[in-house]
Amino acid sequence: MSRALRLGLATIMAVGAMLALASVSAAPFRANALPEARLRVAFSARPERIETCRTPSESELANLPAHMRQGVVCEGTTATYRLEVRHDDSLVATALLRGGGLRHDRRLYALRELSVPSGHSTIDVRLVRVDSVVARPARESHESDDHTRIGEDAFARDEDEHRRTVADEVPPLLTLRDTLTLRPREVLLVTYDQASHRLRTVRGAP
Amino acid sequence: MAAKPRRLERLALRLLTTADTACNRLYGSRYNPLYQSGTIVVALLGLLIVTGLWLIFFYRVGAPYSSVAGLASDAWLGRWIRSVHRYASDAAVVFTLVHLWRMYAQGRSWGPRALAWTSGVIALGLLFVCGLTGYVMVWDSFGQLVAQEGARMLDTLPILSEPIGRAFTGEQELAGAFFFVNLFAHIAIPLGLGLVLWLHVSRVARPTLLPPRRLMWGLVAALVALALVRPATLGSAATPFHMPESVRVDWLYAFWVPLVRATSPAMAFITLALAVLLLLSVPLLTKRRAAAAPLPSVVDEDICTGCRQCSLDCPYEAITMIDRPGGGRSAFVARVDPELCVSCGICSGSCAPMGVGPPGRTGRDQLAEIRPFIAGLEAGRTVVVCCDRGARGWRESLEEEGAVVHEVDCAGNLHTSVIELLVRGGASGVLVIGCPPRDCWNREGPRWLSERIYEDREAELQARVDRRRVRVISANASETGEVVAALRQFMADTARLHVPQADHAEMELVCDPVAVEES
Repeated sequence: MSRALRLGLATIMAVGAMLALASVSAAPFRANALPEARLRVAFSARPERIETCRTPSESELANLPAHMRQGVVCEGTTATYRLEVRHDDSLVATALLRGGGLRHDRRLYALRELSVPSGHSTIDVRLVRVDSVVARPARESHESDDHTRIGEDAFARDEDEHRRTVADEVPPLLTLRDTLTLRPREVLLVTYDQASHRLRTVRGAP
Repeated sequence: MAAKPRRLERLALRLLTTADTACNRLYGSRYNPLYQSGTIVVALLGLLIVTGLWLIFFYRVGAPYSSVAGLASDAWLGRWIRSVHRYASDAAVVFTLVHLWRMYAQGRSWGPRALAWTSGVIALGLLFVCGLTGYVMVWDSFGQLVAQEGARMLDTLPILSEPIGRAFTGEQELAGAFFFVNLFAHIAIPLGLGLVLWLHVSRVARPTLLPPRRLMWGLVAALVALALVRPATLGSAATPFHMPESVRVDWLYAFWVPLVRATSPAMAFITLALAVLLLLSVPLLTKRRAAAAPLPSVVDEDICTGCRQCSLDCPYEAITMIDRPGGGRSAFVARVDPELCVSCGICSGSCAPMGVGPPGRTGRDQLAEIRPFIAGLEAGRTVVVCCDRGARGWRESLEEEGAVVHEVDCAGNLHTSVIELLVRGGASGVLVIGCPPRDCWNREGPRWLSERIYEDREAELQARVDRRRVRVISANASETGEVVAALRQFMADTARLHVPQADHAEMELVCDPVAVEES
C-alpha cells in the first residue's frame, strides 16, 4: 500500500468514525409514534386520619417525664381511597390509594399515565374514601392540673394542630368531570388543588 | 505455561486482532487508536474537564434551557465548545468499551488484575451517570426523556415513599434546586471518577496515562472539526404537557430508554442490574483455577545477586527488594508478592543470573528448552522466536520461507542468553517478533527486550554476539504479510554475512553480586 493511499484511507476512516460518532450521538428516536394523547393523574394529598383519642389518667401522666405529657393521646391509621378514571364513560384505570410509608401515615399520592385517543373527550376522575370506619373525635375539654402541669396553652396548641391537620385532609369524595378536545401527544394533567380541595386539570399552551 | 484463552475470549480476540490489523495498516502500531484506548479515555476526560469548565460559566440553574440555547447560538464561544464537550463524552464511552473488550479478549481480567477490571467497570458506570446528568442539565426534550424514563426505572425500587417521577409531571414547576443538585452531581462525579482511575492504575508500575502527542492532538482536532461541521443538536425545550413525536437521542448514553419503553421499568432495571453484575463478575468467571492458573514468579535466593533489575522491570510492582535474611552473597534479595504477580514472566528476561521467574519459565528453563532445539537445528537456518499467540497466525508462512520457528510464552520474557545460544548454535540469524509495544499483554515486554538487545539494559545481550544476526520487530497475529516481508529482508541481510560456525562452548551462568546503594 502506497503512503498516499494509506494516508487517504486513514483520513477516510477517521472522518467516517467521526461522522458515525455524531450520528450515534443524535439519532432520531420515535418516542411517541402514535398520535395519542396522555392523561396524567398526579397528585399528593393528606389522607384522613382515623384515630382513637383518649385522655390519659393523672397517674399515667405522673409516670411520664414532663416534656412527654400530652393532654390527649391518639392512635390510629389513615383512610383508604379508591381512584377511578374514566374516559368517555369507560373505566380506564382504578387503584386503591393509601398513605405512604411503612405505617401508611404519610401523604398519599397518585401517579398514573394513561394513553387516550386524541380528540373530543370526556374525562371523569373520582377519588372516593372507601373505609367504613370513622374517627372518634374524643377530644374533651381539659382542665389544667398543677401536679401534671399540662396547661391550657399546651392543650390549645394540640387542638390547633389537630384542626389544621383535619383541614388539610382530602375530602371523602372528589370528582372531576370535564369535556375537552385533546390534541395529539398532548398531556392533560389531573391534579389535586390543596387550597380549594378540588381536582383540576392543567394543560400546556397549544 | 501462561494462561490460555477460553472460547469466548478467543472469539473476542479474533475480532480484536482483525480490527487491530486494519488500524495498524492505516495508522501504524504507534498511533493505532485501538492500542491506546485506555490513554485516549484519560485524554478525553481531560478535554471534558477543560471544555466543561468553560461551559459552566454560562450555565444558569434558574434557566437551564435558555442558557444552553444561548450557548448553542453563539458560534464563536459556545456552540463548538459545547459540541466538543458532547462528542468527547461519546468518544470516551466508545474507547472505554474498546478498552474493556481488549482486556477481556486478552484474558487480563482476573487474579491481581481483578481490581483494575472492577474499578474500570465502576468508572464506566460513573461515566454513564455523569453523561446522563449532563443531558438532564440541558433540559431539552432528550434531557426530559432521560429524566422521566430514568425516574420510572428508579421508582421500581421501593425505597422512597413517593416516586421520583412525580417531579416531572408538571404539578409544580421544576425547582432550581433540582438543577443545582444535578449540576453538583455532574461536577462531583468526575472527582470520584478521578479517584477510581487512580485505583485503576494503582497496581501497575509506570502507568501510561496519555497517548502519543500526535494521536492525542489529532483526536482533539478531529473532534473540533466534527463540532464545527456538525454541531451538537439541541432539542425543543422540555415541557411536561407535550410529548414530542421524535427525539434526537444519544444512543451511547440512552441505550436503555427503548428497553424501558418496550418492556417495563422493572424489567429494564433488572436487565441493566444483571448486565452490571455480569460485568463485575467477569474476574470470577474468567479466573483460571487449579492447573490452568499460571503460577506466580519465584526467586531462587541462592542465585539472586540483589541487583534490583527484576523489581525495576516488573510491570506490576510485584517484586520488592528486602534485606537478605541471615546475610549472604548480597545485601538484598528479591521477593515476589504472589498476590500482585500476574505471572507475566517479564522478570525471567530481566534477571541476568536467571534466578527469578515463573516456575518452568525462568531463564534457565528457557536455556534448557532451547538446547534440544539447537541440537536439531540445521546450521545456517534463520530462527524466528515469537510468542505462541503470534505463531498461530504466522508459523506456516514463516516455515515456507525456510525459517525455523521457536515459540515462547511471551517474547518479552525471552532471556538474551537464549538468543546468544541460538547464534552460537549455528543459526544464521535470530528474528524476535514481539507484540506491538502498546499491545503487549504484559505491558512492557517489547520495550525491555528491545533495550536489552540494543541499549545494554541489565541482562543485556552480550557484546560478543554479532548484532547483525539479531533483529527485533513487532507485529500482531494477523500481520502475516508484514512478518513475512520482514523475515525476507532479514534473511537477505544475514545471507551477506559469512556462514556461521556452531560454537558449543558452555555459557557462563554465574554472576557476581552487584553492589547496590541502599537508596
